Parts: sequence; structure tokens; C-alpha cells
Amino acid sequence: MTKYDGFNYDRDREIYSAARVRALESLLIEKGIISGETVDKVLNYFETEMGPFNGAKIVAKAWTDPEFKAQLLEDCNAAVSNIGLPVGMSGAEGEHMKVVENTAEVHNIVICTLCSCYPWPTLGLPPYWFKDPTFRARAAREPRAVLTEFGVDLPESTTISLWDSSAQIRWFVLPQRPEGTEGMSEEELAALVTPEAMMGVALVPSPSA
Amino acid sequence: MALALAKKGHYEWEDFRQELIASIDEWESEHTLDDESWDYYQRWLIALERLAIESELIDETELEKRTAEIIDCKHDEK
Repeated sequence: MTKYDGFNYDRDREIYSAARVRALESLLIEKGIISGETVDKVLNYFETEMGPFNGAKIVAKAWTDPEFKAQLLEDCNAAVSNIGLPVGMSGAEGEHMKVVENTAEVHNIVICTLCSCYPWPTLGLPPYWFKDPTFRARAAREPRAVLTEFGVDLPESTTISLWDSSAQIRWFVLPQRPEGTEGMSEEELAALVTPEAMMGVALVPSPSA
Repeated sequence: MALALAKKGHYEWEDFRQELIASIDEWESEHTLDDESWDYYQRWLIALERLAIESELIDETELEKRTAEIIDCKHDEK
């Protein structure tokens, strides 16, 4: 059997952590501090309203609408507020988003060196590896090597820019529009955009490739 | 749960973030970065517990007691 070391957790610790979460939740509910419905509402919001599908829509629109793109790069929150997406939950990671554009000269990567800051409303919740100590340290130290491991080989001449998300600013990447997508609709384009591409650890593949 | 508490004004989301940074930093200063015992959710849970205790929403003793009860109860079910 192949074993993936990244998830080799101690079974006892898992039971203990699960019990602690349940203990905490039951105490808070008992004291009337939160209700089970509040927690369900938040969970439901994340499952249905916030996710990478929002980011993909934004990217597709920026690819097809130069005016929107200019506004997006200038003031992401203002641009996004006009296109019928759910409003970012106040106090929860989406208030100050900024977009950086990948070009032939510059490739952008978004990380959070201190913890796990991430633009939830546009990208959903971050994948586990984003929070991994090794990834966080290596992406900052040797981004080109990390990109190669993700399967992204960039020409030596491309500058790699790192953007460290924090409470003040959550970054996300506007990837380059791939070749062979001329004449595609926004919906078709959005379907090509992955969360990884919006984090800068993948390129958007050409549909003909 | 963490979000619900912040939304209800029991603490600022930034307070939670600072607790999380501190609990991750503690682990990183005591382990090598590729140590297999890394568990993001454990760091996350520690941050939430500490904040709930500091904000006087719950106290540590009752949390320990309830956790023990839940674990025992699970063992009984086996």
C-alpha cells in the first residue's frame, strides 16, 4: 500500500482533537453564545456562496472586458462589487483583496508566510498544502524550484514576484489568457480557470493543448 | 464556529489571526519544518480555544472536563 506521509496522523490525536472541537461547540451552544444554526449557516455559506467559481468568473470577465480589468487591477473590491457576486463576509478574509496580473515578463505567486491568509470570497478555503510549513518557507526562499515541482516551467527571463497575504491585503492572481481561446464565452473561459492558477502555482492551459 | 463567534462580536477576526500566527510560530520554533507531526487544524484549534478562554466565553477547566467526558463516552460505545 502506498503511504502518503503528509497525512500520517496519529489516530489518538485525531480522536482527541475531534472530541475537543465537540466539547468547545457544545459548551458554546449550551451557554447560548452560538447556536447550531449559526454554525450551519456559516458552513452553508462557504459551500454555496464562496468559492473558486467566483474568482474564475472575475478572471474570465477581466479577459473579455478591458475596462473591467483596469478597474479590477486598480480597486478589486470596487470592481467585484459591481458584477453580482456575493458580498465578502465582513471581518472574514475578503475585505481587502488585490489582484496582480501575470504577463509574459512577470509571474506572480501568492503565499502567506505567517499563517494561512487567503481571499475566501474569490477562492474559497485554502488547500491543505498552502498552510504547510515547508511550502510556506520554500515558496518564499526558492519560488522557481517550487513552481517547477507544481509543473510550471517558466523561461529564465520571467521575473517571479511573491505576494505575501496578510490581514491587510489578500492577493490573488489574474492568470494569462491562454492561446486558442479567442471567441470563447465568459462561461467557457471561467471553466478553464483553476484555484491554483489564481494562486500562481499553475498556468491556465490552452483548451486545444 | 470561529467565524460565527467573530460575526457575533465576541472578538475581532484579527485577534483570531494573531492567535493562529502565535500557535503556528510556537510549533515551528520547536520542530523542523518537515516534521510529520505537523497538523494545521491542531494549531487552529489551539488558537480558537485560547481565544475563547481569553475572551471569557468558556473556562479551561470545563473544556478539559467536557473533552474527557466525550472521549470516555466514545470509549464506552466501543
